[in-house]
Amino acid sequence: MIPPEVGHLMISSFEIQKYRCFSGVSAKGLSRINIIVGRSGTGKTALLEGLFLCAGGSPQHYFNILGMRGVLGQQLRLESEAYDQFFREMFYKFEITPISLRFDDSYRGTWTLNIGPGAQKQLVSPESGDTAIYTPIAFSAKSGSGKEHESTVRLEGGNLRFPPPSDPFSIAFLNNATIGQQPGLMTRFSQIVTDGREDKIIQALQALYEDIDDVRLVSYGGGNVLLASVKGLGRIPMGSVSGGINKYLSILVTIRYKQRSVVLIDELENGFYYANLTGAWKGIVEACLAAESQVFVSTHSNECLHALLPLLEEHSDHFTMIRTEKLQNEIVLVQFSGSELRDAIEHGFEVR
Amino acid sequence: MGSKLDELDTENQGPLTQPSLILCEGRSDAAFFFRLTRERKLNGFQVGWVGGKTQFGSYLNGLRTRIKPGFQRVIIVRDCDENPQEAFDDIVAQIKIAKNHPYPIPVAPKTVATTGTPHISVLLLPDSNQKGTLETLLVLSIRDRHPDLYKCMLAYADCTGTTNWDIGKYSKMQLHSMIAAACPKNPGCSLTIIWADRDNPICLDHECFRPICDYLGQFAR
Repeated sequence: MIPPEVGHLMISSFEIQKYRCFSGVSAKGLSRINIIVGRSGTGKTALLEGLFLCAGGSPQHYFNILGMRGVLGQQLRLESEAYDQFFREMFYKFEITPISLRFDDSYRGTWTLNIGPGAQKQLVSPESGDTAIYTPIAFSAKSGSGKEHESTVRLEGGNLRFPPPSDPFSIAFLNNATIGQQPGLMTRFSQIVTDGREDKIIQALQALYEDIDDVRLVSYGGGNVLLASVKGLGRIPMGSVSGGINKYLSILVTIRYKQRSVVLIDELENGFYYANLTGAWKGIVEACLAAESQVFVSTHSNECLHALLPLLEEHSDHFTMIRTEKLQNEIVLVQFSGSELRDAIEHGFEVR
Repeated sequence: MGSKLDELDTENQGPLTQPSLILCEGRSDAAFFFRLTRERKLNGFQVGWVGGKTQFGSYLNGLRTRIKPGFQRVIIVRDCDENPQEAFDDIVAQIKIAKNHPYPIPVAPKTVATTGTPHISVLLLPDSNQKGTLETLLVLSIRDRHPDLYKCMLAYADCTGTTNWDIGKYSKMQLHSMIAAACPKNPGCSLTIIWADRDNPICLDHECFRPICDYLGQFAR
């Protein structure tokens, strides 16, 4: 059963200005579980990215986003023109005007990130020795504790340089490109096992996939890997059991790893058998409440939303739905309470 | 036939494409209003149904997720049953369920509450101060076109001792007895699909529907 309501909420409101498709959007009165819906191209993923960037407060998080989108290749060597292109798609209408991101954490204050052009710099090509002028992009972050941090992305010898992040907010971004392969998964699971907290995760997995007896982290083929004990099959790598179960494990581990963190999940439904969606939601909600964490989940799927109904009927106060909509060529956010979502689903409405 | 049912479902659950929503108790009531507005060329209406008279509140609460710019009003349609005032008070109580985004509350049937969006009005059937249901009106519309059928039905009601039922149940009995007798190919024809039956005895241009059409007419495009 879902434990009783816990008091601490993470991101209670946010504001995104001039980031990607958003001229200016905001939301307040957020919940433990926030569902993001909307037509393709209306900014569901961009909204998650905006929160991720603001929480990280550094260019590193932008590169992580590019990596998740598959935009970032192995090479980071850039000339001055490529530098502009590299960052341009972050800006509203591809015009390099300042981006402003902000959210309020109900426990740790207001976090802000401003991204914009810095002072022009000269670039010398390492190959030809030619010089060019470029405008570096500056990230100015302020954390909830009031700590300020400035990162300017410079080009040196064709390589991007920037200082490491400082005082980052605890946030994780899971999307289909990275989920299951995220670098921190093994470390997180290992820590959970060390703390003796893995039982709840194994139980949640078994609720969906009853053939799984256990999950262990072992050295395998020169690295660490998660092995599942599967009835009739013995121990096999999690990824070989099923993409859906590997994804589910990754979500649960990420949520339960650290108390009071925010987890962003893009397109939850992919990989889950439809009949398992309610169980998956239940595991996610239980993990969030136990860890006092918060999730933002985007979905395209009506089945995924309908699978929420049993949880909405029991705990509608834990939920908020945000729909991204295009209105007169601008993206707007329309927000609904958990009870409105529950009643809409009960009456069979198309809410996406 | 199938496409008509699909069309009703789309009206009930899909995007709000018209400025006014006629919100009924059940699917068969919605099918009646769907047909009536088209026969009488009352444009600008979409129909919906809540699935029982206790479900208006939850439907309205969830309806917020479908509302888009351009949508103007909800016309709630409910049977008076035995007590028109109780029926109206019950609707008002249900409108108040939607707390996150409250709806305006009408002060009486056929008045329009405009202190919020969308505007809300309540249409009671057979009329604001009359006991009965939609079926009470439908019986009247058959009576004048099929007097012999009506006379036989009254005799049947006398014989079966149903004349002392409450008016809602009595009207239903009357209506379905006459539909069964008038529709030899499908005596069990429901009110949802009867509009496509060539033997349909219900007369939509009957005078008894004029108050409804007059009321809806002020909102038609």
